[in-house]
Amino acid sequence: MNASHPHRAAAFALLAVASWGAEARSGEEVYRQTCALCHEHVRVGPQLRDRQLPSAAVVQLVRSGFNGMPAFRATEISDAELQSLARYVNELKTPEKTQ
Amino acid sequence: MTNVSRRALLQGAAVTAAGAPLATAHAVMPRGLSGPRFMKAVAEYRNVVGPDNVLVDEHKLVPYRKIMIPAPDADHRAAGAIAPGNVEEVRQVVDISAKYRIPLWTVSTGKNFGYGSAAPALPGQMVLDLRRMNRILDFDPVLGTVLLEPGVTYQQLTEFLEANRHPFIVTGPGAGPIVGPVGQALERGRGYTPYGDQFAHMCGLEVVLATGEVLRTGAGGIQGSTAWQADRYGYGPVISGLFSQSNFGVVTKMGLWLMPKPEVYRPFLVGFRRHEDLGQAVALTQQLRLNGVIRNGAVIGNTMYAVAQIARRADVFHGTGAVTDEWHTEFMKDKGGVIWGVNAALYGIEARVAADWQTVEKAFAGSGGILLGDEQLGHDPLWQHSRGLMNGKLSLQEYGIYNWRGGGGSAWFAPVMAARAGDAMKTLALGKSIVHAHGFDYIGGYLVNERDMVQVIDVLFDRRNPEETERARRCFKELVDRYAASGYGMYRTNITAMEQAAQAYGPIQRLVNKKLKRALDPLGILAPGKSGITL
Repeated sequence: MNASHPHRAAAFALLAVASWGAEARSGEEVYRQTCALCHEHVRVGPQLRDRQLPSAAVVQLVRSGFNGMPAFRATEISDAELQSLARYVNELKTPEKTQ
Repeated sequence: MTNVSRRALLQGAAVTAAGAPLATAHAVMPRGLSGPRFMKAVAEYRNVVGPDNVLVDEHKLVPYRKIMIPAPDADHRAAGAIAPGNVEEVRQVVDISAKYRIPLWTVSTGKNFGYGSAAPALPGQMVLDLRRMNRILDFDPVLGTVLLEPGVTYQQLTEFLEANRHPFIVTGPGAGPIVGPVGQALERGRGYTPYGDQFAHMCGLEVVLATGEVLRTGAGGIQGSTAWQADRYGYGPVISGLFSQSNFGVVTKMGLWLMPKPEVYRPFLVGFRRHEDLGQAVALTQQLRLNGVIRNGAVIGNTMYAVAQIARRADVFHGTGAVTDEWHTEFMKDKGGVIWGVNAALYGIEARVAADWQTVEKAFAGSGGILLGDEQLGHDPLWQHSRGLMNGKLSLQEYGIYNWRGGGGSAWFAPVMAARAGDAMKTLALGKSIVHAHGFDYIGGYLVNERDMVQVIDVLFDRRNPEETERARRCFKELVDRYAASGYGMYRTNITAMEQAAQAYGPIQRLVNKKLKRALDPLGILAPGKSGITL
């Protein structure tokens, strides 16, 4: 990389934030980056809010997949992240509408 | 495939307190290796990549065994998985595999739905899972290039570009957010922007060879070169292509050209109301592609593909056997009546897009096609997905098709052919007759380029039902065989049909591939069976 070029130097500075998974993500972040793609943004997967899904079931479903839902490996969602995600999904509620 | 019900899962009944499944399958070993010797190799792998990044316990391998294709799970069961974090670790893993003769099946994001997901073509391989290698290593805002590791997803690349306001867009497939450019380019998958052929826009590979060397293709071989991601050819034979759809090396870095964000973007849909209009839709679209008016991979979608995304079959179809053309026509009657939709777009400066729009209007005038744009289609979710895909905005909307029949069965059938009306009509009749004869619906369309096009049919089935799964297996096999007999080969295929698909391309190509395999991987440790290539 030619750091003397101003554009390349700027790019180099940005690259430090261009990798995922270097640090464990929060359950909310994993939900936003992965689960929400099917369960929120489009009507592909069922609604997960207000269902108080058991954490153990969430862990199992994420790792094994279910029918059309893919399985997610530890290289995609680490064990620690999955525990956080399971707690997050268990407590996930529909936001109250502001008046 | 698990027999655990959703209800049991939600009640937490099928898992232990530790989250491990109660039922485990028998371990699969690499062929010819004893248990103690295998565990010795595992210990060496763990020394290189860390103990947590080598998986051989049955319950840890569950995600690597989830497949959607109509094949027994056992036919594609991995012996384990190894997840290196950098190229040096990959190199050492390959060395250990050579020492113990353990085959490695490489995946990048491992989300090749309906093609095999992260499972190997032949059982007993260790999955070399490169998902942890997910750095965007270089970005050049002047040339519009990036250098990526295999685990980078399109969503990650999109977030990087958006966060830094770089004026480029990505070109993802239908599964875009959770899959990545390296896998997409190396599998030669098709996308929907003018850069839809990602293989044609990759530039510069780093490859770990089975014999231990680390190759950089093109200008990457020159010390201090600034052109690795700019010049696709270098000097001498262009060998980058040898590492796509092959098992000749492990790609650990890939350069990719990014499409500049257009000043004006004008997507449109041309709706045709008769099944037999496909030929005309293909002919008109191909000419607009050839003369450069339409520059993106145009999809001519059958509206059953759209219906399947938003409806469940049991809710709308109450007949027996496959959905017929007559039912389809009747179902669409009060929904605009469209049977085929040409999804395409115009890109560029305002004057160019305005001029191209006139050409498009003229081309389709009198064809019977109805030209529609944002004004007519508005916030329709399917249109939003389509217009987004053609401009680098990714969503998983298309995966609604997996709810159409339910049960998680999917096998993409994707023959490639000349982009002619005659080929379209011939393959439409052929494909439809085969899937209907097996009781499945015709769910698919055509992706039209300047000169070639791909017909895609998703054989959707209930994988929980053994009879239906077996029927889907026979259906897919017949599709491959009868298309080959008519002169049509697959442009890619799933892990269970790779051998069959390779046969269609004739014995000499297979011989050359075998010679290359012997030269580059003399022990045959890299992904045996990939694209039908073995020693």
